[in-house]
Amino acid sequence: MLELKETLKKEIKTLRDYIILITVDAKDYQKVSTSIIKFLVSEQGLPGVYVTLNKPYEVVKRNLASSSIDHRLMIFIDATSRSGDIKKVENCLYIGSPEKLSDLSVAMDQAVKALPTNEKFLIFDSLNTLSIFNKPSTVARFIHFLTGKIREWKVKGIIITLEKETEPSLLDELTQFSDYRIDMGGES
Amino acid sequence: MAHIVLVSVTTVIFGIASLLLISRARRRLSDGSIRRYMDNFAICLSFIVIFSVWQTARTIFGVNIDVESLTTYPEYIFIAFAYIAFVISSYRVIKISEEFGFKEQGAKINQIVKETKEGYQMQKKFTKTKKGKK
Repeated sequence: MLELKETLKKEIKTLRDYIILITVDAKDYQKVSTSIIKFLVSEQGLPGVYVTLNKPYEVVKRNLASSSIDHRLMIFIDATSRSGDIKKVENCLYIGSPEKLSDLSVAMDQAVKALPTNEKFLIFDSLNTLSIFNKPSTVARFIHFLTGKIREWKVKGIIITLEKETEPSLLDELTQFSDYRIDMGGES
Repeated sequence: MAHIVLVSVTTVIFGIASLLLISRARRRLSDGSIRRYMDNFAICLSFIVIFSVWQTARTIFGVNIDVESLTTYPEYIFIAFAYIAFVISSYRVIKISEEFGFKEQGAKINQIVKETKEGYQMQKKFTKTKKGKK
């Protein structure tokens, strides 16, 4: 994961806010997501918001703890569990379903605005999972909304997606809105 | 009389326009807390609109619908329902603020960031003093 860190350092060192699209191969997914958080939280000391659509909060927390990353600096929005109900535990809000995009948007907006520091980040993990539960047109609109909001919030935005699982047109659109695209792993 | 009719009709038009706007907004939202709140709000508004329509009809046509042993003006029952629905909507707003409000978490994170920075600065000072002594 040294490659990712170096790329991140080189590309975004001087930037205060940006949007980075990280396409990743499934087998490297875990390492990549942990490395990104480690870079932002442990190395840069930034607080942020982590939106997880893949792994439940408990699993993410456990993974972060095993990598010695301070999870207290982050607000988690968990849209994985399909319990249906919204509930809040510690610093995590369970949305209940990845289909509740309106609630997810409001939660992200409130969480980002609640962070008192000038520099903060938002990690969206991951775009391809969103496509499983929502129509392509809805996902495209959501992506447009998300990138617009990241610019408005002036945060360091990182969107992770599995390259092979993401529709090429969606990926192209997102690449167009992003400042950088980092391809990790896979055949490329 | 003409003034009362004008005011009543205008009220009904505004009410119906509001309901149409809510319906359009609702269609754009996916299922969840915000949409449920919108439903509650639409119910409140519906009761008020029914009340206004009833009153307007009575003013224009002079129709009086008496519901025996209820009240002189039965339409006021809708105002009562509207207030009940408003209470439910307000309760939903409280729930939404509990769910989506992150101020508390933000304050905690701020505290941690401050502590971390202080710790880092102290460590830096300590290293400098150590180097100076050498």
